[in-house]
Parts: sequence; C-alpha cells; structure tokens
Amino acid sequence: MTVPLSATGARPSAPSVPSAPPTGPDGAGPSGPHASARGASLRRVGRVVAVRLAHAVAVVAAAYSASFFLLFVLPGDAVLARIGTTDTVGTSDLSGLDLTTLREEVGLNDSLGRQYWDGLVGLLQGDLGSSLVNDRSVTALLAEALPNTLTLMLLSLVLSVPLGFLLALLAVVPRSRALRSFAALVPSAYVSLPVFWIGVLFIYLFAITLGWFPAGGSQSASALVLPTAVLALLGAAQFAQVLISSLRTEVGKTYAAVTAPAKGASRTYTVFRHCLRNAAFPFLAVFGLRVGQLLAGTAVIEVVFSRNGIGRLMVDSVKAVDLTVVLGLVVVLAVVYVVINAVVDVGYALLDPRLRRRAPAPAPEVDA
Amino acid sequence: MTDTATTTPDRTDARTAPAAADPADVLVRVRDLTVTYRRDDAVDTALDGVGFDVRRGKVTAVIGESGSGKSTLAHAVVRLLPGNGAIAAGAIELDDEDLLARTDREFRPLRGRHIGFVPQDPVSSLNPTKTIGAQVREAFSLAGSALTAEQVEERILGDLRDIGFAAPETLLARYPHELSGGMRQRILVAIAFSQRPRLVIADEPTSALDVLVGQEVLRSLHDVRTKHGTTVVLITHDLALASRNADDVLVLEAGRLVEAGPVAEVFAAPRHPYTRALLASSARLREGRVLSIAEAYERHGPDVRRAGSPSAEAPAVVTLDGVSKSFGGGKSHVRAVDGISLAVAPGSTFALVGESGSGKTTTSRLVLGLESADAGSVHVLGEDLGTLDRKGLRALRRRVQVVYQSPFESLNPRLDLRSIIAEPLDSFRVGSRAERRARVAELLDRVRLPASYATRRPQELSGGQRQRVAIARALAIRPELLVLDEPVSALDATIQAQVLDLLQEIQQELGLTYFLVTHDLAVVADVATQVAVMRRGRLVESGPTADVVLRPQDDYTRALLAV
Repeated sequence: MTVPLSATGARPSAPSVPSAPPTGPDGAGPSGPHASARGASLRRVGRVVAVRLAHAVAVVAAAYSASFFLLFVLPGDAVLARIGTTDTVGTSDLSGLDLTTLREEVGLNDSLGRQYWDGLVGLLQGDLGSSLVNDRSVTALLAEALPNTLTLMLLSLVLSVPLGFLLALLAVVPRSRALRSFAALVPSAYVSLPVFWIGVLFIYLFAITLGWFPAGGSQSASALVLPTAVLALLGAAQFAQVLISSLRTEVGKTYAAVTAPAKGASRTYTVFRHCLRNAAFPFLAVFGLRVGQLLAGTAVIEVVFSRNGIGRLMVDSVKAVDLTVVLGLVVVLAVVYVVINAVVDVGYALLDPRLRRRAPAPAPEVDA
Repeated sequence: MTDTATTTPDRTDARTAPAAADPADVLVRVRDLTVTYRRDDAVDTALDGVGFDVRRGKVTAVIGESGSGKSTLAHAVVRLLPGNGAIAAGAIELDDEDLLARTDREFRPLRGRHIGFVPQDPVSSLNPTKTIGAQVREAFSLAGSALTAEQVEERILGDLRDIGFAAPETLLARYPHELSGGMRQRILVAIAFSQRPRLVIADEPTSALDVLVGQEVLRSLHDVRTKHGTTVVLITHDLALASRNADDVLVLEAGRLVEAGPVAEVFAAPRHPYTRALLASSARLREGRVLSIAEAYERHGPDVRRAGSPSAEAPAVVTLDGVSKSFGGGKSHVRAVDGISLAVAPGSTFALVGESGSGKTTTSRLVLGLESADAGSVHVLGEDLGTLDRKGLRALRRRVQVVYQSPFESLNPRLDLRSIIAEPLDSFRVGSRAERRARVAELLDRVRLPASYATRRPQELSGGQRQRVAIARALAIRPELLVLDEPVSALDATIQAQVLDLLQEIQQELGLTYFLVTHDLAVVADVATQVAVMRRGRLVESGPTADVVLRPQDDYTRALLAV
C-alpha cells in the first residue's frame, strides 16, 4: 500500500481543543472566570482547524501524486492486462486489434503530465474518472464497495478497543501471577498468526464444522460475524500489546506503586483511577498506525470471506492495472487516515486534562 | 549478601534495643525482621533480623549507605515492598498490635489513616494528569474521612498553609508539572499528614532536591510534625541531616542493625566500627556535633591550600569573558547564562556551585564546546571556541575530558570495562592494540581497581566503582582539563570522600586542571582552590575558596553555607 502516514499523526505539541468544558472526573474546573479569553480561544480553535484542514488536503494530494507516479512506473497497462500479453496480439481472435486506438479511448496515450493534471483537477471536482476496464465511474464503484468495508472496519474497531483494554487489564490487575502471565501471552500469540490463516480456520471451525455462521457473502448480517470476529480480535490483540507494556510502566511508577497505596488505595483502584488514563497515551499514539494495519487486514479478510468491499476492489483493480480505480482507492484510504488522525488528536485533548486549558504562569516558589 | 539461610541476629550490643524506659512510650516495635527479595534464581536477604523500638512523638532516623536496607525497612513497615519482596520472619507492632497478623486487605485501612508515607522522588510520586487538589482530596476519600466536602477543603487549605504555601487556593487546580520539585515534595508531605496518622515514614524526602529547597521541605515537615505530635521515621543517607532532625538513630549495615540509640549519644560515642567509619566519612560531623561548612573547612582546609598552588602568571586554562547563552524564543525564552566571566588557573580546581536552573550545567557545556555562546568569548586551553571549526573542536576534545554525574547512566551496560576505558583511545586511534590494553591496565590501577576488572561489565560494579571507571575513561587520552559534572552527588557519603580523595591524588600526580560543577558547596569546599557561586545565570560571588567560605559577601552564598 502506498498510503503515506499523515503528517498530522504526531503527538500534538499544542492544545488542540482548548475550549472543551472542564468536565473531567476531577470535578475541579479551573477556578476563576475566563470569559474574556473566550474570543481569543475561539480564534485559536479556528486557526487550528484551518491548519488541520490544509494538512488534510495536502496529505490526500500527496498520496494521490505519489501513487500516480509509482503506478506509472509499473510495467503494462490496463489495455494489455485485459488482453493478456503482447504475444497474443495478432493471433486469430485478436487480429485487427489496434492497441493504440484502445489506449486512445481510455486516455492512456496522453502525456504523463497531462494525465496527472487531468486526474488532479478531477479529484478537486470530486470526479475520480472512470474505470479503464469496464467504463464504470470510479465514484460509483467506490460508493458500492465502501459501505461494506466501513461497516466491517468500524464494527471490528469498536469491538477491539474495549476488548484490548480488557485483555490488558487481565494481564496487569489480577493477583495471580500465573493468570497475568497467561493473559499477557494471548495477544502476542494471536498477533503472530497470519490473518488469512485465522480467517480460514474460523471458516473451517464455525462455518463448515459447526455450521453456525455463513462462510462468506456480503448480504446477510450473519455473514458479518466471522470476518468481524477475526478483525476485532486482531485489533484487540494489537491494542492489548501496547496497553500491557504501558500499563506495566505506569503501575511501576512511584505515584501508583507507593503514593496511592500509601493513601489506602487498593490495586484495582490505583489501576483504574490513576494508571489507565496515563497508560492510554501510548495506545493513542499507535492507534492511527494500527488502524492502517486493520485496513490491510480488512482487504485480506474480504478476499478470504469473499465479501464485496474495498479490499476486493483493490485486489481486482491492481490485477487489472486499472489505474483510475486504484488511485481512487488511494484517495479514499488517505481520507480515512486523515480522519483517524484527527480522531486521535481529539482523543489526546479529551484524555489529557493538561491540554484542555492553557497553563497559567508557572507558580513562584514560596519562600518560607 | 546472598542467601543467608539461618543467622542469629547480633544481640551482643545493648544498644540494638534502644532504651525505652516506659513500654507505653513505644509506638512501633520491630523484632527480628527479615525481608527477602526473590531474584531470578536466588533469594537476597535485604533485612536480617532487625529489631528496634520507635519512641512515640519522636523522630527516628534510619541511616546507612545505599543497599543497607533502610528503604526496605521503610517499605516493610507500610507493607509496600515491591512485588518480589516479602517479609520472611519477624514481628512489627504498632501500638502493641501485631501488624503482620493482618491480611493485605485488612492492612489497607491502616495506610493513610494511621501510617503516612512520604516517598523519595517528588517528580514521579504525583500522578501527572490529576490536579494537586484531586490528589490531596483523594487521601480523604480513601481514608473514609467523615468530613464534608467543605470541611475537607478547609482542612486542605489549612494544612497547605501550615506547610508553607502562602496562597494554597491557587494551587489546587494546578497539575504537578506546574510546580517545582520542592513544592511537590511539600504536597506529598501534606498528603502524608492529612489524616493525622500516628506514624509518618519519610523515605529520603530531600535527597532528590537542591540543598536549600530540601532544607525548606525538612523545616515544613518538622513544623507539621510538631503541631500534630506525629511520630516520624526518617530514612536518610545524610548524617548531618539525621543529626539535626532526629531524636533517635538506627544504623543499618548490609541489612543488619549495628547500632541504635539517641542521636546525640550514638554520634558522640559510636560503639560499632561501622558507625565510626560512617561518621568519619562525613567531614561535617565531629564529636556528635554538626560543623558549619566554614568550621569543617577550617579543620580540613590547610592541606588543600598547600596542595593547590597554581602559578598566577601562567595563562588561564579556561577563560569565560562576558558569556551569555539563551534558549528558546518568545515566551519560553530563558537566559541560562547571563554575562559571566571567570578564569581557571592551570593545576587548580575551580568549583562552580549553583542549584538546578542556575545555569551551571549550561556553563560546563559551553566550556566543553557542546554549546556555543550567544555573546562573549570562551577560551579553553588557549583556543577560542567561538572561532574553532569542527576539526579544531575535535582536536581540543583530546585535551578536555568529562566525568558525568550518574555513573549508572554514563557507562554503556553492554561493554566491558576494557572497551569502556579504551574508547577514547580507539576513537582517536591512539597506540596499538597491545598498547591500549596496557594503558587500560595502568588506568585501572590508577583509579584503584584490580586489573582483573577489565573484563567485567558496569552492572557488576558498585556506584563508587563505576565512577572510578568513568574517571579512568576520562584520563585515558591524557587530557589537560577535566570537567567534573557533579562527580560525587550520586554516591554515598563514604564513597564520596573516597572518590574526591582519588581525584585530588590524580590531580597532584598529573597536574590536571579541574572544572567542577556541583550543587553542594559542602562537598567541594575541601577540594576546590577557587569557588564561584552561580544563581539565575549570573555569578553572585567568586574567589579563592577560603575567602568565599570564610568571608562570604553575598546573602545567597551565606544561605548555601548555612546548610
């Protein structure tokens, strides 16, 4: 996949949502009214949003451009791919075939710069061109495939986050060392298995042997169960791996290992009230990246479970060197990345109360 | 101290059970306490049959070097040992109640409500994403306090005022990173005392702080303690601190209690050889009395003054002339070094003293050529650092070496000592392999480490030994100037004295010049020929050590000397 990582994925160094209401669990809002600062902070939000939007557009354009030129370097084109190889040209049933005319028809004979420019202008107008293979509009193809994939992806994502937290807590909280070690082992084991293999295993177990769910298809809701399970578990395992290590670090820090228990806090209380939030920062940092992996996993899973969707579309159009469709897919994926990264940034602001308000001037050391 | 299976505690010394005339006066009674740590395949005994009494309403100091088990003792009493630690035997009683009879769940209500704890490191001891107010209030909610929210708020504000915060109202909505280390430590003290516990255990409460700030924290701890009549157990490695703040003292050596009794008696007439050695290592303690830095200097100074006789005519090794250095722009603009001038005579020891944030580290980095000055000139060994190109700078690095503060971080744990010490030789391609080997052996000998150590790795060494290795490495390419950045502040007092002695010895033999950076004037008074005191980027005072120590002109210097 040639989707570059969004430049906005880095940990925000400045508060992104400074005006969020102080509704933290601490219950202690900043004392003193800041009404006069409201106008200024709104302007600040406006500026932040504008910068973010510009970033987003730049990321999508960059992804498009990079993929365009990369794909052009590849040997062969859609016309050739449809025919097979050059050897077959001139044989009986393909005699009289004029490759140049065919290429002319789909615009492959234009200069590279012209093709790129046309594509870019189309992209700005929301027109992604039409497939080189079957003349259908790329937007229509995407609109057809996207809902299926988004459903699968979002569903498994929504399931994998709480599941990941649960696994991580199991690996950190229990008193029994054996239980903790075992719980810590599960995610690593699951992550090291290839997705397609798990997919096939699930089909064999739950579709063929037990007959509980259909092995494939994209129509019924029950067809969604197995692919969602495979992906949700994968996401959960990946999230759990990050969370386990960050939770262990937090639990070992003095504020959790000494200060809180010295006040009379139990281990469970300490983990939930003190460590969980701090341990979630590294989790957020990798969240964007993991979603990318989940996307790749979705493509594989769609093929394994013969579901219609972005993954299938991608595999098919790459095979057919259907450049316009592939580029359209790249644009869609880039947009998904940008959105996820925006979600991550907002997540930081929600999670870290320190980012929610502007720090007052540092307190002077009180001289006794 | 590996597995000592069965040992009979040494009970020959009458002082190991301190004179507790009236049993009713005893708050904590510890008997035959043995604490073990499970390592990979062995069991380490951290405390070995320790027994003592803590008198009600008094301050009991626990002293000993690192590894003596004093922190383990503190954590064992509140049952906050790390996961691999366990109380193997013994008894701990609080007001005649056997604490070990309680299960973990039954023990929990004691914490906070009856036993408060002040942890060592103020930076990591507060949750960074919760406000100060939330973390103090939590002490009340966890202790099941019967006070209403308003009463709690009132109590907190009162407590914080008691502990030296002039305007505690503004403090509660802040996050820990907005407070200085000293303020955070005082918050932790306030939390420990908030439930008016019978006992507060303070585990090295000031060792991570600057000298003056630490003193302030101790003063506020003393104030609250007196106000509430709380019994305090104070863990410390600082004998002067123990002597001034404690009523009783327990001396631990390698997990055993070697001496116990009233501080005045024990320090005036130590019975155990270990206590005697410990006291002798502190230049500040004589006949059970804490000397002022000036007094200590007068007693020890003469031989230093004789030793350091730098020729005034010789050109200075380091010259700073009106040097300034700033960091950051806009609001975060900081003037770390603000127009300082100084000169270091060859063969002398120049001590730059200042607290954290004073700019002393930036100054040392300017001398090392790791930073470039914004204004003014830096001359080192006759070269103008402002005009030197990369090549010139590298050539100069052969003549200037550095010893860093933490010997635990400055040595690569994956290399053996030979590779570590030979690294400067390798990097400057000095000598053949055989010659480098010979040089390493010679250097090990020079820093008083056995030659067999060449194949060891840093983690097999103690802190003091590691710092010797760092010194050997710095000496490897025969530099003319050594920059010593807090060379002993990570070490125990006894080891500090040894390392400083070693540094002086080496200086006399090799005629080196030392540029020494430290926060502790007491440590350097004995070894420095010149002292400069730095505060907020400026030099407030500088001159020959005798002048600065005995006749300080600046109030800040006087404050540092009064510690």
